[in-house]
Amino acid sequence: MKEKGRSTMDIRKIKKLIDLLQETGIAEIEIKEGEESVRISRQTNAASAVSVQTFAAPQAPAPVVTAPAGAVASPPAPAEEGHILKAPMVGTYYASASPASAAFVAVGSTVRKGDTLCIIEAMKIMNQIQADRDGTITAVHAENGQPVEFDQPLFTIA
Amino acid sequence: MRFVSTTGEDRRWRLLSLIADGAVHSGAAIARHLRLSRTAVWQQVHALQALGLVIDAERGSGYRLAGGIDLFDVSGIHSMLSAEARRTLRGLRLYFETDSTNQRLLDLARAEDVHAQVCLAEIQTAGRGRRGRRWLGSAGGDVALSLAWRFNAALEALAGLSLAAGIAVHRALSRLGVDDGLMLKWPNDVVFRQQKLAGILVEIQGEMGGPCLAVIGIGLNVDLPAAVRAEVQQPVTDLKSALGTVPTRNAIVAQLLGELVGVLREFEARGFGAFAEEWARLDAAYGREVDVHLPSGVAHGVAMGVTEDGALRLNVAGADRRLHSGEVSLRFPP
Repeated sequence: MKEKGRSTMDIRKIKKLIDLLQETGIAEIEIKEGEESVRISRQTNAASAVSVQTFAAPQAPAPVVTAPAGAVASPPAPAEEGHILKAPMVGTYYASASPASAAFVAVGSTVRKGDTLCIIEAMKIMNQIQADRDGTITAVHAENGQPVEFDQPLFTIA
Repeated sequence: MRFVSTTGEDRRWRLLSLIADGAVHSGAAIARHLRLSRTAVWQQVHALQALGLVIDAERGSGYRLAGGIDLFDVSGIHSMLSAEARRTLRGLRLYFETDSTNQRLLDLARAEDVHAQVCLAEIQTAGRGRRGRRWLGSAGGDVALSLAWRFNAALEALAGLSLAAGIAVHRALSRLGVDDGLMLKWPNDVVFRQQKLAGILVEIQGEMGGPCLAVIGIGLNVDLPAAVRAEVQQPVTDLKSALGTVPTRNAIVAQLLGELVGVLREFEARGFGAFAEEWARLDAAYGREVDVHLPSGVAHGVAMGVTEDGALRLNVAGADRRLHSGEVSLRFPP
């Protein structure tokens, strides 16, 4: 691969695009610049946070920039569409702090990392399950008062 | 270690500590001592009465707190702590009145490191039991304390912590002299002759992979007024009934903290396994027919002890079930 292939689409630029994606909530973005194009899309469930694919434009024969996905995507751990928060333990799922109080969150709630989303009770230990990222709750998978298993999906945060 | 009492800022507490001896105190003497007007004294008496304290106001003579009250005192607690607890604990806060001692520590945790800090209150207005159930206490009649502990472990590694906390309370009460009939009911009620003497509620916050902050709240009945007993919807007892006499609440707190610190350090190193044998020996329901009240209904079976992570083993018509939550009640109470 030739070094000059990176001249127009460098890591910094890709990083900027990822930030833009996060800020705007756009699912996918594709930018063409000269001979190259970059497409960045949010993934629904993969471990890597954002996939970055770069393509050579069809007419351009030579430089293909290989995807620097790992290097670019890992540090900020952006909120991706369809991140699933799973139960860290076996127990009973509670949507609210007490039967009389309102649910911590519902579909559509905006959450910040560290916000309590639910309680899983096991052996009179009330585990406040916290959001592991900022985002919006797009699905609640568990039912109030029902048992949950280890690794069972609880919420989708997008 | 910082032991802080905020009670002095509360006029009600200042009045209460003045009349704690149960003797008659004239309104004029109280007013002079507290530098309040007599009307203000009268208002504070009313405020204390509203908390359930029985204060007789006798025209012409003064005020008398029937039976007196044994109030907490941070220096008294400090002087009675074990050497290990004194070394390990980083602070203790005493409040006259708070919503819930667990909640105080959870709130404080947002601003500071609360590891090994204790919160204690004379009066809890919203003492928490399981699922928002209230822990009913009475001024001077119970002990409500919470201890925060940070674990550098994942959430699931803390299974069994609440059972271990039950062991700590059991050990403390044994040291205070309660013996025959002091047992544990899964997951962590401390019972005396099958009646509830103490309850524990653990609340945990943290990242899934750790570290986690556990706040262990203990409610112990010391000398429950009949009115409170009647209000609690299960068989309850108190330390006074179990012992015949009552140690000072400062001594009770010091004993509880000493045992808790020891148990938490051992749990940190070895997990619930370190306590499994002791727990099995104290299991109030072992081999007995029980109803386990689950959110989804009632499971009926024979209690067969606990698993290595503290789950209840229930034999239901020959099949072994493992339960992680629920309330156990004996089918045939003694």
